[in-house]
Amino acid sequence: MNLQNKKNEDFIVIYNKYVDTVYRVCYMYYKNKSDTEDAVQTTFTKFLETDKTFNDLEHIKAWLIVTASNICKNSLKHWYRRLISLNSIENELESKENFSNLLESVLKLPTKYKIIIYMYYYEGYNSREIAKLLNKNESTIRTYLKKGRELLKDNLGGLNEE
Amino acid sequence: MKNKKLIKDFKIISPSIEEKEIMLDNILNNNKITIPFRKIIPVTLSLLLILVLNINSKVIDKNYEIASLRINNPKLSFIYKNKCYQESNIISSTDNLKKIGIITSLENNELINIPIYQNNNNNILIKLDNHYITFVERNCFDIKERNLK
Repeated sequence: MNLQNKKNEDFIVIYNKYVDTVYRVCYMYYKNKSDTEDAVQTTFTKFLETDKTFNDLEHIKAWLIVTASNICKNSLKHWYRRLISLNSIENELESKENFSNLLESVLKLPTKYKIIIYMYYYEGYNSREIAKLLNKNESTIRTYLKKGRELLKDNLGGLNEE
Repeated sequence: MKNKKLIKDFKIISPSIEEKEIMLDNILNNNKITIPFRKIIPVTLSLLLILVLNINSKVIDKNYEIASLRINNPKLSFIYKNKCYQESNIISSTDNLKKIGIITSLENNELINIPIYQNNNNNILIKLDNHYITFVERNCFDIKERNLK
């Protein structure tokens, strides 16, 4: 599917289909709404601008996840990110009220684990697919999953896999 | 392997319909995206730094007479203070080099400044690709002008 000459209507369909996925990926990194919204907009703007030819919707979804993840990682490297604003703390405190203990525990994990936990348990990618998407070894992904699960077990006393 | 409990929990993390519409509007009208204040500060600082460096480099350049780079196949030449200098195979000392001038040249549409140095023995050198080349004074006859700006 070549979306280079994509019309706004096509884009809106894709946006509506994947905006939640991209939003969740970015939220994993920032844990606040305002930064997440910025990153979501940047991700979809890049999608509009890219010359890449996509094979199918699954390819688009994978591209959006990887691009969002890279955008968030890069922005968090900036020095000004080390300064914690009061707003972000307030947002985080507000959001905690709505989240379950399990989700709270996932969000508290180091980023490298929680992204993989999200992709594995929510999006349903297997370790080979995650490895390909994130350009890492499959064994590394399995190790991260194992370590992420162990950390969650420590916090919750066991993750109920269904 | 999907986890039903996690799927249910993760679904809470999603923008509202109104937030989705605002983001979509921003994406489709790219210029309207508001830049958060915290992002403006580093950009402004970078611009100021570039400006200061730029002013600084111009001040430095004004202290030196600008020389013109010329070529006389296959050797490089330049004219500096009405004298012509040509590349030579002489190896001169690079100790205690003193910057005495600037050669400006247009390379691939990019203006480059090449400093001219003088050592203790009054040899004239320029640094190109991390190597110092000694230039000796020559007759200006038959030195063709290179693309200059």
